[in-house]
Amino acid sequence: MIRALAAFAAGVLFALGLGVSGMTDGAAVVGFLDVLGGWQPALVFVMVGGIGTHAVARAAMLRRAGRPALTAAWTWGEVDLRTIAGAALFGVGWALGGYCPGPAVVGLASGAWEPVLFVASMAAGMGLHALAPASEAATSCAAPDDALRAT
Amino acid sequence: MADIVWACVGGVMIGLAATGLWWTHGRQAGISGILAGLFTPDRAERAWRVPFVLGLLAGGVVLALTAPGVFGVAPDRGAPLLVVSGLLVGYGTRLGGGCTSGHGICGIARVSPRSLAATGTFVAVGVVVATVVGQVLRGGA
Repeated sequence: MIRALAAFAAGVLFALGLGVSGMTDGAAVVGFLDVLGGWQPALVFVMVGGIGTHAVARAAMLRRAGRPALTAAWTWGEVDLRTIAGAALFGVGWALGGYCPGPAVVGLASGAWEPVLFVASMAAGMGLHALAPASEAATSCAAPDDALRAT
Repeated sequence: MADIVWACVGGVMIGLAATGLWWTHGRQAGISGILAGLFTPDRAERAWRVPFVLGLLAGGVVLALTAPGVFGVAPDRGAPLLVVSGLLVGYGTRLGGGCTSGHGICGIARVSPRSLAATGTFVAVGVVVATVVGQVLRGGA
């Protein structure tokens, strides 16, 4: 129960952070990516704040604890050579719609139809990838990392 | 200037949320990956993904009730463009193994070369596409 509550609380804080930062405003996201349309650089600082905070807190906790508080070990994402192609497709979609996955899900609560249509299409895109041949190899190859060695 | 301050504050909140999930569950707060695993048959995987996504939605409700102005949509995007955009984001984030949160925040914070490459790619491609689309919409191209 406490593990579920911790995940829920992290989700709430993540959503509030997206809202406060400006990421849930598709016009601001497009204004950030469109450098010739009265460029709005502020969203760079979402990454600066997020990366800086996570990097410092993560390093401090690794030094102090060595393992997660409520589970046995750190888990790492997958590594594959399709990263660049996938990231490029994501970049095109992000610029066309003004949504990346987090703000789109948070935006479902806004009452607007755009996030609903976007999230449904995004789920379909994820489903297409899951159905594609060889998607297993692309998504399930766990990589060792510094934190695992640190435990 | 105010938007830069809010971007920093929001970024810190996102960083703390990612740290909280990582510290309690040992998981990266990569939204696309979490969503993709939402309906896995593996109960232990669902046990943290479902409450995290419910938290995202609950946070969205809080924002809608207290600060509805934070929500906005990109200008001049019709339904067909949103469908294409959603398909590309869904397929691309699975192929590339992450999005703005998993690669852009968590991956760069742990200095993953793969996440640095992915983030550089989607930001660069996003800038080119958004700028070209913007020029076309403005009638400048």
